[in-house]
Amino acid sequence: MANAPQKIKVDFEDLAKLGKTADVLAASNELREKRRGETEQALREYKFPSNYNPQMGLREGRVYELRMFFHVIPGHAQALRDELAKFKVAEQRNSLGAHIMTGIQSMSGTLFDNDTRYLHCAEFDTEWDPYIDDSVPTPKQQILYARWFQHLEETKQFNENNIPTSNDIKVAFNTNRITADVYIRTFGHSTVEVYQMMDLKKAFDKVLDDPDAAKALEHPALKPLLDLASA
Amino acid sequence: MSWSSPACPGDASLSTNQKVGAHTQVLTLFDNDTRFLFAVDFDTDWDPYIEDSLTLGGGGIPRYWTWWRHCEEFANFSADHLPSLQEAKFLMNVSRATGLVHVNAFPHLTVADRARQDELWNAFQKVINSPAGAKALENPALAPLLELAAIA
Repeated sequence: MANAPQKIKVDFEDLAKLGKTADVLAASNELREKRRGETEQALREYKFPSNYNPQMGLREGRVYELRMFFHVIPGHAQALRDELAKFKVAEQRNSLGAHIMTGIQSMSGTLFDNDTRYLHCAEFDTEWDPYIDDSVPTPKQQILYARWFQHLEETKQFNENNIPTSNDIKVAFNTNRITADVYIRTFGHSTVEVYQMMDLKKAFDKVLDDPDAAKALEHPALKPLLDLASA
Repeated sequence: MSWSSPACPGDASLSTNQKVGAHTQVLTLFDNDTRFLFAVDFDTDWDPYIEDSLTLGGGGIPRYWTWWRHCEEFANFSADHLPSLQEAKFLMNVSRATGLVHVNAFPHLTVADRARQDELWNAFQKVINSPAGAKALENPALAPLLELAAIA
């Protein structure tokens, strides 16, 4: 009998502490590779429903849209509000480490129809399976979903005593997901690309502030960059 | 030295989305095609955003009418009797639901910021993909840029 794959700890805050985009990206790839055995075994052994379709969602540039429509359990709207407020401030949802490892670009949650319905949306720039597997790799992240799932009719079987696995979350999302009819993004870059662009802007600003560097930029082969600078 | 002037709403080379500061627009039919969700992320306050959207480029209110005409909330209007700017703003506002939670990976970057970064990124790619450009970046004074060339 084959040994069970080793459980690998994933902490987005630890990743974020690396600071540099390239370092976080390298560490994310390394973590993903270390977790490959565990993730692949979970995928193989999970019994997905016959109508499970991981190919949903429109893509614009490198980014996919995700929107899911749920029904709120009567009387649970305020509790859902409270949990979502905590979900938003969970530091790992909004860190450099989480952005780079999961490719998440945005997330929003909206109650509508007098608090009887709940719309959950996200945008991400990886494929569906790695997006969820990387977003909720361990119970530390999965429990954040259990806490708001418990207030929705479609996912009320989950709670802090019955934490959904990443594959449970894929099915819960997929079952209640509707692919958009039109998806327009002004910029379709991946999260990593946007961080690299921000790094480039910082480096370019530094160069422009240095008289020697500004002079070096006058080299004819650097004209595309010089054109973006003005005296 | 400084950057060249940023992309701005008056720049004719910008798309309508860039002019109005819209990052995304998503249109979704749901509940067995009986409901319609129009969702948008934008940079500016509501009034300038919606006024720019309904008036700048791309067809203005007649362009929106192509989908409004299929929605119950616009039943009092017709192709011959389009809503005014103020009526359109009001109708979109009364059908709006504010999010409980909204997380954006890059909340500090406006569409104009993204356009400028895109411009710089493309210029940098052009430089590092030309042998002469890559060589010129080896000037020690340009070390901050050269470091990025390895991963860009």
